[in-house]
Amino acid sequence: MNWSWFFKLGSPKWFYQMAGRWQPWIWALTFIGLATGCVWGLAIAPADYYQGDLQRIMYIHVPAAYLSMFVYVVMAVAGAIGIIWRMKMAYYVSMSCSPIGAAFTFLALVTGSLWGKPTWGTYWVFDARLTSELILLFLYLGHMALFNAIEDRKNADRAAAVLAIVGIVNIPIIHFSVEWWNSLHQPASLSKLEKPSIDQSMLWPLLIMIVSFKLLFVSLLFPYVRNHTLWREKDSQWVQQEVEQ
Amino acid sequence: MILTLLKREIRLINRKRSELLNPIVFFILVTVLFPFGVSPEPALLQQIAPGVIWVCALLSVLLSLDSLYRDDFDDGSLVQLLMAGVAPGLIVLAKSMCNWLFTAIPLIIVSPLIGIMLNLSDSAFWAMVVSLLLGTPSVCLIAAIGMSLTVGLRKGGILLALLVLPLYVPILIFGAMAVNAATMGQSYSGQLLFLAAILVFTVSMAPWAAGAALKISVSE
Amino acid sequence: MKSSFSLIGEQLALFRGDRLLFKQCNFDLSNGETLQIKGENGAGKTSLLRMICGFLDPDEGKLNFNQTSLLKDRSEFYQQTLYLGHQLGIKSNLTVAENLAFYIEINGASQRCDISEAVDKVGLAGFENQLVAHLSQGQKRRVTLARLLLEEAVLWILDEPFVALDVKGQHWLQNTLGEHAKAGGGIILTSHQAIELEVPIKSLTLQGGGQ
Repeated sequence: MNWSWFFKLGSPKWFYQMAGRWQPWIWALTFIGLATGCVWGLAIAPADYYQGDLQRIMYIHVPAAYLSMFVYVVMAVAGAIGIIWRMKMAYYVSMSCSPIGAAFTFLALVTGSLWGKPTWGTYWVFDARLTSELILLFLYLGHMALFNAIEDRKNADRAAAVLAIVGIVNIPIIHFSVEWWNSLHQPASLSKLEKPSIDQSMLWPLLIMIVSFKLLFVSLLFPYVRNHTLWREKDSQWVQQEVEQ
Repeated sequence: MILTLLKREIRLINRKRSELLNPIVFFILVTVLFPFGVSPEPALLQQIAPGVIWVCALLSVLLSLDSLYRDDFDDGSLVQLLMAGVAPGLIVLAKSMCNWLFTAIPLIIVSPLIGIMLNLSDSAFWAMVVSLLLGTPSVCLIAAIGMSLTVGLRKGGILLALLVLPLYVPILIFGAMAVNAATMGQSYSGQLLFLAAILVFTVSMAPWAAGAALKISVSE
Repeated sequence: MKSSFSLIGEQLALFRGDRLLFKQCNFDLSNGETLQIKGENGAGKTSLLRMICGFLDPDEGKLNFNQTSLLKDRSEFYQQTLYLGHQLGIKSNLTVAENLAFYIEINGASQRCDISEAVDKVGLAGFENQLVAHLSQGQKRRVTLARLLLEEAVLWILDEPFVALDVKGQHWLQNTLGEHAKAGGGIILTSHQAIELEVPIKSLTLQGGGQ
């Protein structure tokens, strides 16, 4: 098996230029996906029997919540790659993930509480999933704070990567314990919000939205990583040539 | 090797015994603040007592950590230990054991007193003591990860809390829930088993992670 | 006598933050040799020592100890070296003897002398059971130097060992270094002052932004 592609990923210059070339195409795909998903989900798909049009917030909420966890996994895996293979580029990707992940988490929290107001009658309840999301947001904030607090960039990379790995190991435990705690605390009436086996007519737009959100993550990640790369490699020759052009 | 490290830590702690009192006084003080903020109503206090005791225990342990790590970092002892070939995970383990012995155990000893003041029901005493006994070692070990990550920073205190508190959620849930269950006269062995499982997990993972973090902090 | 060792650095480069401290730094050292690292303030002398000790990773280059890369395995290196840095690594809440006893316990003792003899030799007779907190800066430095006599390390890595020592102390240290080198030990040190040993001294000069 030829591993050269893997080590090419490790070259900041190669990644910078590759990401620059692909960026417009991925943005275009993202827009097409988001537009299709939104129109389908918000206009064409049937309204929920119980919740009416309100339920359509699902098409934003569920992908955002899904992505908030997905991005954390990417962040931790990239951090681990950085530590194991001492690969700079993996650190840059890992560090660029946390603001994006925090944004998705925040979006999931906001849409969740907007959804909660009419259904639960309040913006916030300590629902298991919302609470896990809130803790996830704190994990992201901690990751960013640690990275920014350490002055030496190389150490900041490694420390933040260790923290991301510790976080990823803990997330399932936190999620499980919150769910367990919640099932004892909350009256069972809330469980009607658990998605019943979802109808095909709603499933398709939801899947499209999830895929488009993933594309959106990549489209956001590329400029973040490119910026980060420029900043970190600002003394290298190729960056200076790049800036001059 | 770990015995040598423990002996050293204990001797150092022994030289500044007065500092040992601080987390305990903090623990009592903060728990006593709750009736002022909530209500002196015994029934209400009884209801919040398990959570209050557990949250305050977590914070007290977190605050006790600084001197244990920072002194060794600042005076270069940490560098010397690593140069002697001591595994960083072992250093963390020794420090966490001391942290537990000299901070968590005294907290557990005074916790029945807090229980009485907050009107904790008699049936919950043992649940409280045993859940603290099982939960606090994990608390010390997880705090050690955060401390190892932030020990090189001059103002690491609040960052330490931000990093570590979210990770305490499972321990807090199972710990406080065991006490709650006992208050209501239910069986609480399930919660204790979860605390034990978390303990096994943190003992096997945390020293490794904290050791890696410690090495990074030393290269500052 | 002393076990044989070799330490070789090839084409080493180190950045701190965005700043290049040095590059293409080469040196080699084996039994009986002394290497003095020279350079202006901020040239990276301390960083080079910390890099050899494993607390900083080189950005480029190789670092081998007894033909094994130090980037991979340091166990042998740790057994055979003694590093004294700016931070003394002694606890102010422990007595002089307690501090030294702890290091003997984790590093292993040389059979040359015991703690009270070593304390005598570094000029701290009578201070053995004093808390380090009560000592002056120069005396604290002497406590760390007592470790040179007490521990069985082949390679000494010393960062500005002459700092805070009086004339007598400096004289004693130069003698001790000379004896160690003659007995087959290796020494890497940084120092601003000229040092005179009875053995030849190699020197390595670090200049800002390259060698």
